[in-house]
This record gives sequence, structure tokens and C-alpha cells, in this order.
Amino acid sequence: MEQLNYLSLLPEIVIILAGILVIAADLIIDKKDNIISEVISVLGLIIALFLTGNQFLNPEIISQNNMLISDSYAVFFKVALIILSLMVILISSHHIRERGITHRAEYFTFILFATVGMMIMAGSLDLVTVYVGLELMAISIYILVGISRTEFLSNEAALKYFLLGLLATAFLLYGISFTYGMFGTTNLVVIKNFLQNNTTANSGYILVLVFLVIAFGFKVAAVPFHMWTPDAYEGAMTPVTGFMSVGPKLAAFAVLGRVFVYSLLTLKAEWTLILTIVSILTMTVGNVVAIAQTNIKRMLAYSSIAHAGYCLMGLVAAGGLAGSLGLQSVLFYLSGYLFMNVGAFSIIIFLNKKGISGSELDDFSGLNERYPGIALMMSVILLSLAGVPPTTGFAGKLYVFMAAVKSKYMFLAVIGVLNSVIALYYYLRIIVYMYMKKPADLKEETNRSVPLLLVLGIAVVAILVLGIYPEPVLNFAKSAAGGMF
Amino acid sequence: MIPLYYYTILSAVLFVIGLIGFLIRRNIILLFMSIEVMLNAVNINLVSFSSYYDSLDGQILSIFVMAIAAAEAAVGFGILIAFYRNKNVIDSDKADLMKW
Repeated sequence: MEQLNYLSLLPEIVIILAGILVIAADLIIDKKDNIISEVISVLGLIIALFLTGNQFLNPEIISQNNMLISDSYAVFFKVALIILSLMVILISSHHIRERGITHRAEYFTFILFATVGMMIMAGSLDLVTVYVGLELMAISIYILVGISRTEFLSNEAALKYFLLGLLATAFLLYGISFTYGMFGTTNLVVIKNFLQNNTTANSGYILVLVFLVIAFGFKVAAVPFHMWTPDAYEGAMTPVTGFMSVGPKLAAFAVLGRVFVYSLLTLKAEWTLILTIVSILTMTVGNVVAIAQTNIKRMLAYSSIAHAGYCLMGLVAAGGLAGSLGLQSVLFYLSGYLFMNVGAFSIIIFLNKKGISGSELDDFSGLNERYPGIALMMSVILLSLAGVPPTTGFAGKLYVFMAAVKSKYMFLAVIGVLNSVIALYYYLRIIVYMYMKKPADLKEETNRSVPLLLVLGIAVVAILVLGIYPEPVLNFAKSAAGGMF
Repeated sequence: MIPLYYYTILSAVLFVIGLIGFLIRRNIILLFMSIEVMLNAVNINLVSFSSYYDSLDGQILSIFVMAIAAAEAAVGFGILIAFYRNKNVIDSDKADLMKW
């Protein structure tokens, strides 16, 4: 165990340097329509991806005074986060020019900084680093949501997200302060050992659990802490929505897994009860309210709430008999969710018109006649979100429900299946619009940039590959989840 | 010496005051201030536990909390100014373009 080990932090350092370089390059090179920001960001992320992949080959390293860990669990999330960030940068490159965002370099810098924040969360072994990583992520994303400064919707979304994010932070810190008060430390390994040696029940533990669930409930948009989600998702620029609908969720689930499953496993009776209730509420409210939405971005916001509910179900299963199988199913589900959501938001970007975001349900009517290829890809993505085979949405749900059944949470699995049926309705409605309605009579300018179509293609292929041949990712998730028990 | 639970009760009271303020106030600056009260409750907790355990971890964390809260406030006021330029109010009730 080394005190300071910068080698294991190399991916984060590279991304931070790339972020600073983006700003510097923007200052030096005159403000013509250059793509230097994108090039630097993408290069930095690719180098970081290789460095992170290299960490997978090494045994786990605990570094920086037991604050950070790089084990296969952290590497799994870091790889997913870097891929997300790469895809988001590629889909936003053309879009932010169309929307006339003047602060292009800052936009990419904050995407990179948010990525680093989430990577720190994924690799943290101490509640202090969880907090610092979470804030780095949250502050960057507040700025990204509000980056179209002159638009009302963007201002309002940023303000709502910011205020409720602050509230979540206060709850997290209050929870951390009581954790410190009860255990005398914030280190998750020490807490784990303490709990294993002192089995006497302490009602104060429940207080800590409740505060942590509230704080991370805000970040994963679990009901009843989801109020900000639809507004922030609708008001933010579409690539940012894609980013914030996946990234914070991945990072928060990484922390939930690390804190609850790894560190507080002895208290599983308490936290599985809390998470069961939250999971049922999240699935049901998300899916039922999504039916009423006519704006696709709002609908996807509620659908992302519902997906968080399914993941929470897997987490509950991880506290039950299924053990590592439950956590593995969460990891696999999230990796599929990444491609589904980025794909769906790429299509909304593709349909973007000048000024309006192109995200109303009517914008999709008759899409098949206008762009048959795009309509087909959207159908694959929607069927995957609904959980229809042979897509990753189906495989992910299958594993989550299987884990729930194995943990003897039959009712939870039944509620999950019923919810998938509800979800099918509003996803299929878009497909009906695309294939059976007459196209709306509007000539729109679509976003035909090559990187966007590339990302779209990658997302669709990944959805199908993860659905048909999930073994490689599943094995990766298995080794990642196995180390947590 | 003052017993530990005095501090815990003080911090709990402050936290609840902040939370109630956050829930009932409509002026966004007052919302910020309510959150700051909640963060100060956290800091009191951390410092009192820190002196109870005779370890420095809690005090260091409370410095982290203050530094990061300052960064958050900077971003928050930036967002608020952008909002004010468009709307000419700082009432959270006026952020009502989007409803579920």
C-alpha cells in the first residue's frame, strides 16, 4: 500500500490536463471556426481510455492515503464514463455551433472536468473523496445545463437543478458528518471492519442510511427526489441532457454499490428495506407519468427515472441472497443504458431545427418517409429501452429480474415486469408516430454531421451486440462485482 | 466541558431551520442562505466530533466543505445573474416555464 501513487491517477490527470489545454488553446488560437477543442478533448479521452484499460491488467491499488482505489469495479465505471464522454463530445460538436453557443472551449472543458469528477466518485474509498468528486461533477454540470445563457428554458433548468443539487449536497454532508461521528472515520474499509466486529445494533446507523439514500436519490433521480429531472432535462441542451442522464447515474450507482454493498453490507437488512420502497416508487411513478408526456425529452427523463428504479432493484438484490449477481446485473444494465440513452438523444439532435429543439412528439410523425434509416435506428433504441429482445435493454432487465427472484424478492420482480408493460406503451407510441402518421409539413434543417451519425451507428450496434452476445461485458461486470463482497 | 450532544442538538436545530427556510422561502438569495445554514450545521457537527475523537479528519473535512461551498456559490450566482437578466426577478416562483 503506497501513500501517494500518481500512476493509478494517470487517466484523471490526463483528462484534467486536456481540459486545461482546451481553454489555453482557445485563448491562443483566434476564434475562428476551429475544431481544436474537440480534437484535444477526444485525444485526451482516448489516451485516458487506454491508461484505464491498462489498470485493469494490474491488481487493485489503494492509493492517496487510502482515499482512492483502482480495482476492476472502479475500472468498469471509468471505462463506461470515458466512453460516454467521448460520445457526448462527438454528438455535441456540430450542435453547439448550430445553437450559437459562444463558449465552445468552456463547454468541452466542463464535460472533461465532470468526467473526472465522476471517475473520482467511481474510484473513491473514502466519503471525503466521494464528496469532492460529486461536487466536481455537479458544479460542472450546473454550468453545462445553463450554458445557453440567453435562453429562458436553460436558465430555469440550471436554476432548478442547482438549487435541488445544493439541497442534496447538504443532505450528503449531514450524512457524512454523522458517519464520522459514529465511526470516527470516513474511510469505507475501516467502517466495514468496524461493523463486522461490532454487531450491536445502533439506531443512529439508520439516520446515516436515510441521509445517504436521500443524497444519492437526488443524483440518480429516484422518486421522491426526482422533481428536478424533467425540467433540467428539457431545458438543457440536448447533448448535455444525454450526458447528465447517464453520467451522474453511473457515478452515483458506483458510489451506492461501494458504500452500501461493500462497506455497509452488515446493515443490509435496513438498507434493502429503504431501497425496496424507493425502487418500487421510482419504477412506478417514472413509467406512469411518462405516459402523459408529449415532449420526447421529458418522456425520456421520466423513462430514465424508471430505469433508475430497475437498477435500484438490482442493488436490493445485491443485498439479498443473490449477492454479487445482483451487483453484476446493475453494472450490465447501466452499460446498456449508456448506449440506449446516448443513442436516443443523438436522434433528437439529428432532428434539431434552428431555434427549437425538435423534441416534440409531432416532430417524429412520418419519420419513416423522411429518413427511413433514422426511423429504423430509433425503433431499435426504443425497443431496447422498452426491453424487447434481442436488445441490451432486454438482457439487462432479464438479469436484474433474475437477481431479484434469486434473492426471493418475487414481488419486486413482478412489479418490475408490470412496469415494463406500462413502459412499452409510451415507447411504442413513438414508433407508431414514426411509421403510421403522415409527416408534418415542415422543412427542417437536420444535423447531418458525420460524428453524430458515427455515434448513432456505434450506439445501435452496441445495443444489438450487448443484447445478442453479452458475455464479454457480463464477465467484466462479474469480475467487477465479485471484488465487492 | 460541554457534553457532545449539546453540539449535535445545536447542529440538528440549525439544519432543520435551514431546511424549513429552503422549503418556504421564495427569494433565491434566501434559498442560498438557507443552504449555507445547513452547511454550517454540518460543520458544527464535524468540528465537534473531531474534537471528541481528538482527530483532525473532521476539521479538515469542514474546510473542504467551506471551500467547495464557495465554488458552488460562485457558480450559483452566475446562474442567478443569467436568470435575472432574462426575467428581472429573483423569485423562485417565476421559474415556472416548465411544469411536469
